[in-house]
Amino acid sequence: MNRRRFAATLAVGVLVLAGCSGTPSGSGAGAGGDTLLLGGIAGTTGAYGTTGQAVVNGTQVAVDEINAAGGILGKQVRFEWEDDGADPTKSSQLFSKYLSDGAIAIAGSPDTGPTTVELSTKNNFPIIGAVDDCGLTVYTEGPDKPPAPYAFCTSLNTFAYGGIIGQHALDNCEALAVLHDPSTYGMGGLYGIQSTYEATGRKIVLDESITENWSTGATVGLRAEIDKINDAGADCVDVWLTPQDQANFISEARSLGATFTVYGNDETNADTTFSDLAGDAADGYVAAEITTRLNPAQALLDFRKTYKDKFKVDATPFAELSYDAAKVLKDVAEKAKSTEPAKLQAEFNKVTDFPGLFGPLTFTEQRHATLDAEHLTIVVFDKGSKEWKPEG
Amino acid sequence: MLQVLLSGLAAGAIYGLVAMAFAVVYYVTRVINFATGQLLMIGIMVAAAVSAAGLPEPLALAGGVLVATLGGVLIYGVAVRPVLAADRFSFAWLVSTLGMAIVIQSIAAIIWGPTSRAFPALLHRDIMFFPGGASLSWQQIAAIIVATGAAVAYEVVRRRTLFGKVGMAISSDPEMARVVGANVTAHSVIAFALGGLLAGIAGMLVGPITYANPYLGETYGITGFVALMIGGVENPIAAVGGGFVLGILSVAANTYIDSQASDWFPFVIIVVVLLVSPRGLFASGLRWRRSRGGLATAGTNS
Repeated sequence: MNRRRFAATLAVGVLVLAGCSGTPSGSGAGAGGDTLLLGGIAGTTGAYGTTGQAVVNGTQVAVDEINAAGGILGKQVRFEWEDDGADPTKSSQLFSKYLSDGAIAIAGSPDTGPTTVELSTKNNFPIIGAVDDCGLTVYTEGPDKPPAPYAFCTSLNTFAYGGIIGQHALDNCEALAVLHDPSTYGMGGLYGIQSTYEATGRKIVLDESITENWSTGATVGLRAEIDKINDAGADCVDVWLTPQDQANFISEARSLGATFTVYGNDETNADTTFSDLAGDAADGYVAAEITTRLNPAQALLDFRKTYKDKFKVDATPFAELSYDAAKVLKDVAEKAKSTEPAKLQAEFNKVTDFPGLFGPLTFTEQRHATLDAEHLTIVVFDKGSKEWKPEG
Repeated sequence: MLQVLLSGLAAGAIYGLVAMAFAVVYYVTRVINFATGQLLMIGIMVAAAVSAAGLPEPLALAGGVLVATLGGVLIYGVAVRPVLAADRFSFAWLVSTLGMAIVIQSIAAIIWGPTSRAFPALLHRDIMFFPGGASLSWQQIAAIIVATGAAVAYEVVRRRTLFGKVGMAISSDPEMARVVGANVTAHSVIAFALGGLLAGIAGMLVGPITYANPYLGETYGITGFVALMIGGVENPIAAVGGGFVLGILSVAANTYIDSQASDWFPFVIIVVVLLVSPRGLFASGLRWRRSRGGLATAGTNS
C-alpha cells in the first residue's frame, strides 16, 4: 500500500469510526453476578431529547437511592441505558439486548413506546415509567379495553391532558381545531379531547394529522394549517405537536394577526423549550400542569434539590415520574420476593397509594396509567414573569 | 392557490440553495458532499450561539456563514482530497463525506445539546400581504430573492469569466485541464467553500423557522439532494430550479392531498422524474431545447 493510499484509507477509517461513536451511549455500574440489571431506553437526542435525558437522570437518582438503602432483595441495581434516537428498530434491538442480559425490567421508552409495549406483551416482560405518554400507547384499543399487560406507565398521560384541555375548550371556545401528530402520542391527545367533546354531543371542527420531524422538531409549512383553521371558523386550536413546532406555529399565527386561543400538550410546559423559542408570542398560551407540582410536597422539593445538585439542571416532570417508577419497582419486587416477570406483574397490579412525588400511585389490572385529568390544573403562560400560572 | 405558490417558492428557495451547494461541488469535483446539510446546520448553530451571547445579529449571521464556508474547505481537506489523491475514480468520498456528516452532527450535539435553541427572528415577523389574503414573511421573500440571485450570479460567473470557464474545463476533464495549467486543487477548494457558503446562507434564511438544532442537517441534506436529483446534477442553476419545483409540489401536496403528503410526495416526484428524465428535469429540458437548435451555447456543460 503506497503512502497516499494508506493516508486515504486511514482518513476514511477514522471518520467512519468517529461517526459510529457519535451517539451517546449507556452508562451504569459494572456488571456482576450479584447485581440486578434495570434497562433504560430513551431518546436523549432529537426533538424530545430533553425528555429522554430527564427520564434517564430521574431513574438514575432513584437507583442511587435504592442502592444506598441496600438495593432490591439485597442486590445492588445497575442501571444501563441507551439512546434509541426515536428509532423503533434501535429500540427493539435494545429491548432484546436487555432481555438477553437478564434485566428485571426496562424503563421507557418515551419516544418509542409502541415498540417497547409490543415487545413487553410478546415477551411477558415488565416495562415501567415513561412508556411514551401512556394513553393509546398503553391502552391500544382505548381506555375502556384492557391495557398492555406488562406496561406500567407513570408518565404524563395523553388521555388526561387531552381530557382537561378538551373540557377547558368546551367551556371557553365556540369551535375547536386540533393539529396533532399521527403517532399514538398525538392520537392519544386527540382521543382525550374527542371523548370530552363527544360526551356533550359536540364535535371539533378541524382534525389535522401532521407528520413531524422528530429529529429536529421543526416541521416547516404550518402556514397552510393556519389558513385551514381560519377557514374552519375555529376560535381555538390545540397544537399537539413538538414544542418546537408549537413555538413556530404560535409565532407565525401571531405575526399573521391570528387571535385564536392556542392550547398545547403535556410537553409544552414540561421544560422551557417551548417558552424559550416562542418568546413573547407564548403569552396567553394554555396548557395543563400536575396540580401537586404547583404546590410541591417536601419529598418533591428534596428530589428537585438532589437532581439539581447532581445534574446542574432543573428537574422536569419526566425526571420525577421516572424516579417514582424505579421506586415502585423496588417496592413491588420486595413484596413479590422475586424478580420473575409474572410475579412482578401480579404485584404491580396490586400497587395501591404508593407514595409518589406527585401523590399516591395506584395500579390495577385495568389501571396501568397513574395520572388522570383530575390530577391536572389549567395553566397559562405569562410573558411578564415567564412562568406558567394557574388560570385566573 | 396564490398562497400555495408563494409558500412553495419560499420553501423551494431553501431546498434550491442546498441543492445548489451540492451541485457547485459536484460540478467541479464530481463529488457529492453528503455533509452539505450539516454545513447548513453548523451555520445555524454558530449564528444562534453568537446571538445568544449578546452580539449583534449581523455579526451572528456573518459568523454562521463563515463557519459553514470554512467547514466546506475542511471537508475537502480532510475527507475528500486524501481519498481522491489515492484514487480519483474511487467512491471512497461517499463514505468519507457521510462520515464527516456524522462527525459534525455529533460534535454539534455535544457542544450545544439536543434541545432546539432560539434563532434571531430577523425578518420572519414582518409580513407582506398579497391580493386574496396570501402572505409571506420578508424572510421568505428574501429567501426567494437570494436563491434566484445566487443561481443567476453563479451562471454569469460560470459562463462569462475566465475562472468559470476554467471550472468548466476541470469539470469536463480534470487531467487535461491540469496539463494545460489549470489549478485543479484551487478550484476544488473554492467549490467546496462555495458549497459551504450557499449552505450557510440557506441556514440563515431558514433558521428563524426551524430554530437551531444539531439534527437539522439530515433533514435539509435529504431534501436538498432530492431537489438536486429533480433539477439535475450537471448544472447548479438546474438544481435551484429543482428546489423550486420540489417546494411548490410539496406545499401543494400538503394543501390539496393531505397534511402528511409532503413526507412521501417528494419521493414520488423523484421517481417520476428519474423515469421520464434521468438526468433531471432541467438538464434534460436544456438538452431538448439544444437539439431543437435553441438556447444552448456550444462548449458549455449545461
